[in-house]
Amino acid sequence: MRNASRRTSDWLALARSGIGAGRGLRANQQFGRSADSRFYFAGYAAVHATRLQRGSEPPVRGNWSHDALAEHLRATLVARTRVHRDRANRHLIDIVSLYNLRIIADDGASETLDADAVEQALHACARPVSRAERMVRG
Amino acid sequence: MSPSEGSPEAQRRVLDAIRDPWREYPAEVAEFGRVALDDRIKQVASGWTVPVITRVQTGSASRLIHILNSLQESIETKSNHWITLYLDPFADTTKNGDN
Repeated sequence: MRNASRRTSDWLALARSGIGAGRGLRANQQFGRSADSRFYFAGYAAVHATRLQRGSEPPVRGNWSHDALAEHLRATLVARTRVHRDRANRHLIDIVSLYNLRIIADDGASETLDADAVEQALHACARPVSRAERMVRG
Repeated sequence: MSPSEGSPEAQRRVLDAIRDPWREYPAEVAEFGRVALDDRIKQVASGWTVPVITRVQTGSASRLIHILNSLQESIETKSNHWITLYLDPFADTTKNGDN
C-alpha cells in the first residue's frame, strides 16, 4: 500500500531522479551494475507516469508488477493513445530490455555487463522518461 | 494481433508459437543455454509473459539482450500473439525445459 497514493507527478519525479542517479553512477565504470539498476527503475517509474496519465487504474498495491509492466504499457499505448503498434512494440522492447539488464545487474549473474550494456540501458531509459515528460506536459 | 483469451487452449497455442522461432536460433539459444519456463507462462493484458532462464552466464549482457529481443520479435511476427520474454531471477535454474 506504500505506493497507492502516488500520482503521475510523483512517478515522474522518481523517473527523473532515477535517470539522474544512473547517469552519475555511469561515470564510474565500477558502478555499471548500479547504473543499470537505476536506469531500470527510472523507466519503471516513467511507465507508471505514462499509464496513470492515460487513465489506467493501478492495482490496489499502487504499482504494477515488474514482469507484467511491459505488456500493460503496450496495451495502454495501443488502446488508449492509438499509438501505432510498431511504435508501441519499440516502447515495449525498451522496458523489457531495461528489466532484463537490471536482472543481470542485480542478480549477480556473471554475464559481462560492459559499457555497451550501460549505454544500452541509458538509451532504453531515456526514451520512456522523455515520453512521460511529453505526455504530462500535454 | 488479436487479444488472446486465457484458456488452456490459448496457452497451448502460445507454447506452440514459442517453440518454432526458438528452434530457428539454435546457436544463439545454445550460447546462453536459454530455457523458457512453460509452466509459468501467463496472460497479461492482451499478451503473454514468458519467463526465461539462462544456464550459461559467461557471455555479454548486451548480446543476451539482443538475442532475447530478436527471439521475442520473431515469435510475435509468426504467432499473432504478443509475447514478452523476461529473465526470471527466482526460477530454479536446474529445471528442464524442452524449448
